[in-house]
Amino acid sequence: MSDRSPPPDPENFEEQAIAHLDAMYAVACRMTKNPATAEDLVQDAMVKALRSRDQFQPGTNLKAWLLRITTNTFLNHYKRGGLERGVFEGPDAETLNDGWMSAESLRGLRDAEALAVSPLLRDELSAALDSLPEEFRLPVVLCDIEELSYKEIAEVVGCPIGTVMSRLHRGRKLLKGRLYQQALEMGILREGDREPANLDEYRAKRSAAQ
Amino acid sequence: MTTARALVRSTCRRLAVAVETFVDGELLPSQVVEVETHLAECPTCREEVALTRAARMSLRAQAARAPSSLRDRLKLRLEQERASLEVEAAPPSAPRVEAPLALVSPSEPVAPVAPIMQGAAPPRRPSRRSRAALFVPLAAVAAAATFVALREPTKQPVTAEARPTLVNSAGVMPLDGILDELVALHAQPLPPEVTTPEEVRKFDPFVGVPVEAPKLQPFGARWVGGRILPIQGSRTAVLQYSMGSGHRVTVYVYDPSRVSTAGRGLTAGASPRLSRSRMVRNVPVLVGHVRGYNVAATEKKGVGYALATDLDEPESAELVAASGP
Repeated sequence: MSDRSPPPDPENFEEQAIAHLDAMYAVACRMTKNPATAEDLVQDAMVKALRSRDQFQPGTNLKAWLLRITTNTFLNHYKRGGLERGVFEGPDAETLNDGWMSAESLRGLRDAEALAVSPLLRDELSAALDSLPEEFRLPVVLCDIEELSYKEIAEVVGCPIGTVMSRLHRGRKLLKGRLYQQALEMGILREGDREPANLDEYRAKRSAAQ
Repeated sequence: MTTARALVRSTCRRLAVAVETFVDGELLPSQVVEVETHLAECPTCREEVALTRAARMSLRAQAARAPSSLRDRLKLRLEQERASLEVEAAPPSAPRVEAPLALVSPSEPVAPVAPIMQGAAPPRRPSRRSRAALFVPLAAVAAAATFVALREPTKQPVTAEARPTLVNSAGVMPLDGILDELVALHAQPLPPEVTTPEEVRKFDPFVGVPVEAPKLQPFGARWVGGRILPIQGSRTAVLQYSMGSGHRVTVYVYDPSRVSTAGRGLTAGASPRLSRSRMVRNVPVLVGHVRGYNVAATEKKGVGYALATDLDEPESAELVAASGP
């Protein structure tokens, strides 16, 4: 008790925590896939954070700490048990070509991505992220969107850094595989075709189909 | 494939994780040199890096931002929470008074006042949240199911002496246990014992209150069947419906007086999983989430109704409000 610094002033702590509300909400949305549930989750997590604010070590990353509480709250109270694991065992587990793509295909994807001023591939990317099994989705969200370090992600997720790295790797591989698959279906890329298809042509085709 | 290209490709495989780690900025300087050397000679990995970066920018650009309504609600909730922290911080010498029971007696079918105990006295500021705060009386012994004592909220300030302990550690677990059981029974239903709605009348003597299958057909619900099951040791009618959309609804009908006589006060905040109140066509309803399912509870004419669904919250509240006479 004695060598512990006094718990931070709740009001002050709250102000600092609120500054990370967007990050918590973004992660909550990716975890719950439902904005209303995400709001509830964020509220519950914030209340928990306030209650246990004396466990936060000043000088460490408050955002990472808040995201850890958000994640734990989600896993303990919001998750329907055992639904997601099966996805990874199924046919979606491995991407085409073991995730190997030619430079041309990769460039094709990226060019389309760069062109995505309109939300075309952006939506596809987001959907691909949502379709990832949770154990891969969460590290990708924390790393790519929230810019946490591997160490911080390991603390949030509660696993060793090596596991974070391999999950990130697998998650991204799945993500790219899905994106590639979608690009093929959309006609942005053609299998075996080194030249990316014309995106405008695809858009015209899609709007005509609607 | 030429030997040279195969060699590069095997390097790609070896460096696949390192290239990502490079993008993430987590490589040691010595490793950075190796990866950069490889990138200089391998267009595929260069594209890989570029795509990873592009995808990241794109994902970041569309990260959801917290709506201002959430911000406002959160401020109120945290303000309320701070008030309760102040209460907890009060010296333990202050007399700890058990929360007043929710005093629902069988002779008094409509749940009487459950005074609002949230917040310090005098309240810092009357918040929307604290005005809506409710007690959830709860049986420590023979809890049957969630039960709600609801009433027009009082604005009367509460004296320090009458203030209950806000989070009753003895009380939190049973409510959580009931909620878990309700949801578990919904998630993994048992086969019904009766298959016509009329037959549920014969459950009356077991449950101890008139049991009638709620008429949820106007909401698109189809009757499936019902049975009696003990929930936390007390017999409860468990009625199953299915929605056209493939969603399922489980309604629990129980005797709240058996729950409440031994009840302990629990503030709404004590179980964050069943903490929000709503008014649906003048029927007060408590709603919350448990393991991804929505749970809603209300009481009508001395009969308790709780509901677990995979529908959304407004629909769940609507259905539970429509239950009963």
